[in-house]
This record gives sequence, structure tokens and C-alpha cells, in this order.
Amino acid sequence: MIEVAYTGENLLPGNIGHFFVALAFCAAIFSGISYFLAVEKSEFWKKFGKISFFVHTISVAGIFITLFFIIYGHYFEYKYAWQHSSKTLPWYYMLSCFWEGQEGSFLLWMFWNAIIGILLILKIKDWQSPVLAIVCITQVVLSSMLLGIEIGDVFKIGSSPFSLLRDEMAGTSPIFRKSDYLINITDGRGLNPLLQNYWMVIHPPVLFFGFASGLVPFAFAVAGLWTGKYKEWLKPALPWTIISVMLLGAGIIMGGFWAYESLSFGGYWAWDPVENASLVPWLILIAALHIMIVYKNTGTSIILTYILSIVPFLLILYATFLTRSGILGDSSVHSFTDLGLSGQLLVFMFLFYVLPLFAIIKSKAQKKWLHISYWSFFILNITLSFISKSDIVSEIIKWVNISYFVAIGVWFVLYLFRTFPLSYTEESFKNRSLWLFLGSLVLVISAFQVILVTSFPVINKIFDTNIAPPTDAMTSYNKFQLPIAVILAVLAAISQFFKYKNTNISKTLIHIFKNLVLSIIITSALMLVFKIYAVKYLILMLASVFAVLANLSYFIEILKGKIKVAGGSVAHIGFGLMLIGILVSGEKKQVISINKTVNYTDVADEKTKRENVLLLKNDTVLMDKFKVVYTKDTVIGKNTHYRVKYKSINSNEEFTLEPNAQISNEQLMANPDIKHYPTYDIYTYVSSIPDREKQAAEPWGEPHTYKIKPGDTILAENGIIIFESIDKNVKQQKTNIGNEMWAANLKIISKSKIYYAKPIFAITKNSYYTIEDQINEAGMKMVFYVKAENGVVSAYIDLSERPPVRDFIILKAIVFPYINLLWGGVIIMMAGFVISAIKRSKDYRKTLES
Amino acid sequence: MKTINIIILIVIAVSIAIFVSVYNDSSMYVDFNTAKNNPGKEYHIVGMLNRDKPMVYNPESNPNHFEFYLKDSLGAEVKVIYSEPKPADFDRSDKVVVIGKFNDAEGDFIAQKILLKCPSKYEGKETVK
Repeated sequence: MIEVAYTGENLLPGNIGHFFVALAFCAAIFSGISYFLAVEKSEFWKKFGKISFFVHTISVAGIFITLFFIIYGHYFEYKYAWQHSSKTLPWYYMLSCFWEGQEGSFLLWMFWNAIIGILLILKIKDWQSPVLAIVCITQVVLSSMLLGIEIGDVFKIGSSPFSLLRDEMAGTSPIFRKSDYLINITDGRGLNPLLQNYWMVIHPPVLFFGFASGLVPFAFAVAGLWTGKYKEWLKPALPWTIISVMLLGAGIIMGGFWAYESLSFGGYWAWDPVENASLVPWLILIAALHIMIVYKNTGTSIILTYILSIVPFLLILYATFLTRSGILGDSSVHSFTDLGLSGQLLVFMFLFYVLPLFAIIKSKAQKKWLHISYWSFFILNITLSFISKSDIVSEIIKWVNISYFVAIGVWFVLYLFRTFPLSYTEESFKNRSLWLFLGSLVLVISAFQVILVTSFPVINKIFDTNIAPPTDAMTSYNKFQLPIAVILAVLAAISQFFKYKNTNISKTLIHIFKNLVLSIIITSALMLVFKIYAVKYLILMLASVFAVLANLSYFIEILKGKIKVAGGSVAHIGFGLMLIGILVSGEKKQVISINKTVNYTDVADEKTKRENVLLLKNDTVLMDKFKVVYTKDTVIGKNTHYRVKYKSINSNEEFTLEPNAQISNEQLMANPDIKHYPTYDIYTYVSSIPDREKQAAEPWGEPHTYKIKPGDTILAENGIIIFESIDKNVKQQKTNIGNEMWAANLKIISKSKIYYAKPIFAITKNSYYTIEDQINEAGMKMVFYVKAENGVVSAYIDLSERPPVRDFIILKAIVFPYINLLWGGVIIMMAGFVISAIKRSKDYRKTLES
Repeated sequence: MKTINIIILIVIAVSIAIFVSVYNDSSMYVDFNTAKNNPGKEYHIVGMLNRDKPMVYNPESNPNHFEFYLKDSLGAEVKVIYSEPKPADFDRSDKVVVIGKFNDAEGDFIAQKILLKCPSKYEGKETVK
């Protein structure tokens, strides 16, 4: 093959980028080994670990800056820039380019991990070595995802964000063999319009920060098992776990808010696998948080503490696998495709799955066996996948893998039981720890149901089945999650009234009873306000109100309003409000854009929806209690804004919404517009627009010829045409053809509007021709010509008609009542987490000082 | 009996109940024939869009009616009716998952939900002109 000398490329940033990736990878390995030796051999190694972790962090920042430089400078010779950005993209959306692509997402994750590592180095002294050693393993793994080394044709380690377009595309197009190919690459493909939204600038970084922070409880728990200091890790780990819950929760709800504000699926939550995949680790993290408090205060529930601290991170890896491997293809609206890294992701998931077992086994002989079995299993997998493509072999590997996977899990749990023999202390219902324990279990059950349904595609793959998610996801999930929410709300309400020791049971019961009675009264009032009468919803409402009131009363009466210690109560109040918001906005959600123009009696299916309404321009349509008019559309940048006026029929209330849409590649990317009131939102989006091409292709009717004089009127199907005058001074645009041009000035009074048309008749030296005028909105096409008959010159109009092109939008409008309770509740809950993280971190610092 | 044992028993019972119930709630990926033989039962069907046959969406007469022809993996072709506007990126999709059931009166498949598989929604195979 002939080497081509390419021109116009700027290869320096790519080389710098590759250098930083390699440095980050090597520094993480070195740091990890140093920290490992610091635990196993001597403290001497710790400072090497620290220094190389700093080098690693700087390299990660270097990768970030280099990639941003490439995107910002529009160096489209790099595939990542070409694939995810374009010249017109504003700089803040260039950040979103990072999370559109797989490589950028891993980079972001790695970046947060590095930040967390630095914070850990600065904040925790005693646990630094073992915890950072584990952080380094993840960093080695993540930076290897960016290496982009290919071994042969089948095996690929990572995918580099700095790969060149011509290398990646060499097989697809011959233009990349030309030395000046860059001349043809004038712009990138641009960022997915769905991501061009301010929520998409902040939601992914927060979510990924949450994902990254899930590593902390995992690292501490494994470090605890590893060093044999089984309980001491709780105090430093607790504030981090709370922060992790807060970040992941904030990331999830921002995703929900983004979906609500800018996606047109009509809500904030759809039980989509991609959403579920981040919800499940969050639920388990909350369970872990509660059980850690139990363990810290009573020394019980050790085994559950370890399991629940370890599992969220594994679930986060599993979530990454689900969303990035393409396995969700048929079950999710977010269609991610496989970038060929799913094998690597599986290997990594397995690596972290085995890690706790390596940490807990103390006996050298058993450790050796684990090593032998693990590595032989690893090598077996790789060699077999290399040499054999046969179905039977891959079927056998699959089952060997699954049995090994189960065996490791069982082995680990057995070891937990051996290390921490069960102490049969009688748990009494008077003790708070029992209630916290129950709460954690209920959260686990809730997560279990969600992950089970979300894992259907994985189950199908393993067992060759073809089960699909429930057809009505909402109903099916709610059936399980509603009773769970009731139990959780009740537990959140009562748990804090119990103490770890010496609960005054009569006092506690009085508190609970008092709040329960008050809740029943308030719920009865709310029932009338919200008009919710179904028993199951009233029970949930009662439980949620109970959670809010009981925690409020605990905060005021028992904590005496001391906010610093009230993190738990605040979070529980937020949780209760959130549940009420979910309940009311979901149950009383009302689609108001009901189409009434079609008679549906002939349609057999009772479920037939008619939730979209046709709005002709300037026509008034009645929607619920609003008169709605679509008045005009304006193009702003890439988006078309449709102005829709709402006017209440009961009051003077009036407002305008501007749902907009980006029309690109025949796609309509609709963004809703929402009118926010304190007690309800009116959510509106354009679900369809006229197909202009199709309209233009409608056939014209047979032309009718009219012989007319100026001042005459033609009565046509679609309106009236007034022949006003003949314009004999038409400017000649094509002078060499026409000698003389006449135009007919026509005024068209259609049913809705007045239009003007000017068909032209042109005479050349030896011939003549006509230029027709077409008014699509009036559905008319006119040809004008002049004929001399018997010495008399007469004017003629040939008129063809078709149904007028009408300007309209198809609109969907939904009223969400009391959705602000949901957002408010979530914000209060987050505030609760922050308060308690501060409190727990102070506790930890106190123990350090004493 | 100790409290903890009761709790463990309850958790196991609830987990089994969830398993059974989730399984009962679940749908299946099937072909059109299977769905036709069980009218009224909702299924997931993966198919390829037939572009040679008309896709009908006339919002001016009914904004909530869209119909198209889908061919499943076994080659059976069926008219699908969807009571919503035509999905935005429908024209760019090849593979379509329809969720719904057969309407025995007309013999058409009534889709409650449509999932689209676009060749390049997030990241996919690119082509350079």
C-alpha cells in the first residue's frame, strides 16, 4: 500500500491527546500498584501512589482539554469532532458533544472519578491507601476504554476519541485515499438536536457524577474486607454515600425534568430501561445508606451492609452495559448501538464482581485457588472466543460463564457468613434499627422488581426466550410500586420516633397516633381538593401526608427545630411531598387536546385514542376550558416556533405558548412549551405538521377558460377572482427572450384571506408564451393570455383549482396538576441529603480529632 | 419464632410473588400469525417497514389515525393502525417494533405503541457522500 502524504491536517492535538490517554492509563496503574503495596507491604509506597494519582488526574484533565480544543477548533480530521459537532454549534453545546459519544462519556466518568480520588486523598488519611487502590482499578479500566488499540481484526481494546476520520472511514469511501480529502469535509455531522438543550448541558455531568460517586461505598466496603478493619470504614464512608445518593438522585430527576421540558413523550418518567438502569442503583444506595446507619449504631446487619454497599456500583456497571451494548435495542426508545465494546464491558463488570471476594479471602491457599480459577477462566474465555466461532462452543462458554458467575456470588456470601457469624440478638419492634432494616428491605424489593423487568432483554439472550416488557408499562409498574411506596412512606413517618435504646413506647405511640389522626383529617380535605376518590390512591395519599406531618412534628417537637441534625426528617418530608406530587400529577393528568371532529363510533377498539387536535391557522378550537388559536409561526435559528394563544372561557385569563420544533432530515423534533401555574402546568407540543411536499404533489383540476375584461369577476370554487387591470410595464427579467410582457393583476378573495396573483403573457418575435401564477393557499393556478379574434383583442384566464393548502399544526396538550409538589419535594429531599452529609462528615472529623 | 426469621420468610414470599406476577404481566415478542391466533392479547412484534405500500396519514381528516404495512421476520405482512400522529422520524426507520393486538373485525393490527429503530439516532453506521 502506498503511503499518502495528507495535507491540511493538524495532527498535533491528536498526538497530545494520545499521549495523555497513555499517561493517564500508566499513571493509574502505577498509582494503583503503589497504593496496593502501601496496604500490603509498607506505608512507604503511599506517597508514590499519591503523586502518580495527581499525574493521572492532570492527564485526564489534559485529555478533556485536548478533546475540547479539537471540537472547538473544528478539526474535522478527527472522527469525534466530525461525528458529534458542527461549525455552527455554540460553545456550551460543545460540552454536550462529550456525552453524545461513547468515548466522551467514559472520559467524563473518569474525570469525576479522578476528582473524587483527589477529594478522598485530601479528606481521608487513614483509609487512603486501600480506597485509592480500588479507585485506581476503575481508572485503569476506564482509561483502557479510551486506548483504541486493535489486536488483529477481532479484538479491540477501547475506542480512542482522537482517532482520525480517514482511518475510521477508510473502508467506506475512496475519497479518504486522496491526499487533500479534507477539502471535502467542510462541516461535521453535528450534535443530535435532542441534546441541544440547556438541560442536556447539566443533566449528564450530574448523573455521571452520581454514577462515579457510587464507587465510594463500594471502595470503602471492599477496603474494609481487605484490611480486616470491618467496622471503621463506616464513619468516613457514610457522608460520601449520602452525597452519592444526592448526586445520583439529582441526576435522575434532572433527566426527568429534561424529558418533561424538552422531549415530547408527555411526562417526566416513562419506565424506560435507560431510566430504570439509573433508578435501581439509586434505590439500593438509599437502602445501603439506611442499613449503614443501623450497622454503625448497633453493630447488627453487617452482612447486609456489605452487600448493599457493594451492589450499587455493580449495578451501575450493569446499567452501563445495558445502555451501551445495544442489548436494549427492541425494548427502549433510546436506541443505543453497540460500538464493539460490550465484550470489554462484560469483562470489567466481572472484574469488579470478583474483587470483593479477593478482598475477603484471607487464607493464602484459598487466595491461590481463586487466582488460578479466575485467570484460567479468563484465558479460557478469550482463547475460545478467538479460535472458535461455532455455536455449540459459544453456548458452552455461556453456561460455563453463568455458573462461574453464580459460584462467585455464592462463594462471597458464604464467606461473609463465615467472617461475620450471625449473632442472634432479638430485634425488637421498639428498636429503630428494626424499622430501618425493614425500610432497606422494602427498597431492595422495589429495586428488584424494576431490575427484573428491565433485564428482560438479558434474560432473553441467556435463555433464548422472547419475553417482552409489559405492554402497559405504567400500570404494571404502578401495581408493584404503589404498595411499596405506601410502606416506605409509613416507615419514613414512624421510624424516627423509635430510638436505638430505651424507647419510651407510650410516648412514641402517642406521637404516631396524634400525627396519624391529623393526617387522616388533612387527607380527607385533600381528597376533596384534588378530587381523588379511588381507595388505593387515598391510601397512598394518607401514607404520604403521614410521612410529611410525622417528620415535621419530629423536627419541631423532638429536634426542637435544630436544622443541622434534621437531615433525615427533611429528606423524609421531601419524599412525602414528592409522592403526593407524583400521585396527583399522574392520576389527575388530563389530555385536553381531544379531537372532536371525527366520529369514532365505527371504530371497534374502545381504547382508540384521539389525543391530538388539528389547529388550522387562525381557527379557534375549544380545548377543555380554553379557546385555542394557532396564529403564526416564526423561524428562529434552526427552530420553527408555533405561536398558540390560549384564552380561558371562564375568566380573562390569557396566555401564549410557543412550542417549537426543529425540522431536519424530514424529522420533526418537537420541543414542548409549558405554562406554569402554582397549582398546575399546561404542557403543549406540536405532534405533527403539514407535509408540504405531499401537498404540492396534489393534482390540479381541469382548467376552465374565462374570457374577461378588466373589472370582471370570476366565481370560482375556492373564492372570487377580480381581474383588476393589465400591467403592460412588467419588468423583463430575461430580456433576450421576451419583447413585450403583459401581466394580469388579479385579486383573489378566498374564504379566509385575500391574495394577489400576477400571471404573465409574453410575446416574442415569432411566438408567445405564458408564465402561470399559483396560489397554493387559495388552491388556484392561473394562466393569462391574449388572443386576437376577428380583429378584436380579448384577454383570457385559464383557471385550475384544487383543495387549498391549509396551514395547520397538530397539537397535543396535557394538564399536569400540582406537579410543583413533585419538583419541590425532590428539592427538599436533596436538601435533606446535603444536611445529613454535612452532619455525618462533622461526626467523622470529630472521631478523627478525639 | 424470631422476628428476623419472619421477615426473611416474608421477603422470600414477596420475591416469589413478584417473579410470578412480573412474568404474568410480561408480553412476548412474537410474529403476526401468533398474534392473529390470539386476538385481543397484546404482543410485541418486530418487523420491517414496507415502503412500497402506502403509509397513510391525513391529519386534516383525522390527526389521530396513521396506518402502514409491516412485514415480520417470517414474511407475514399486516396493516398496522396507530391512533396517534405519524411518529416524527418514522420515514427514516427500517426496523419497527409495534406493541398492540389484532382487531378481529377488520383483521388489522392495532398498535398502542411504536418503537423505532433509526439507523443513526445516537451513534450508528455513518456514510460519507
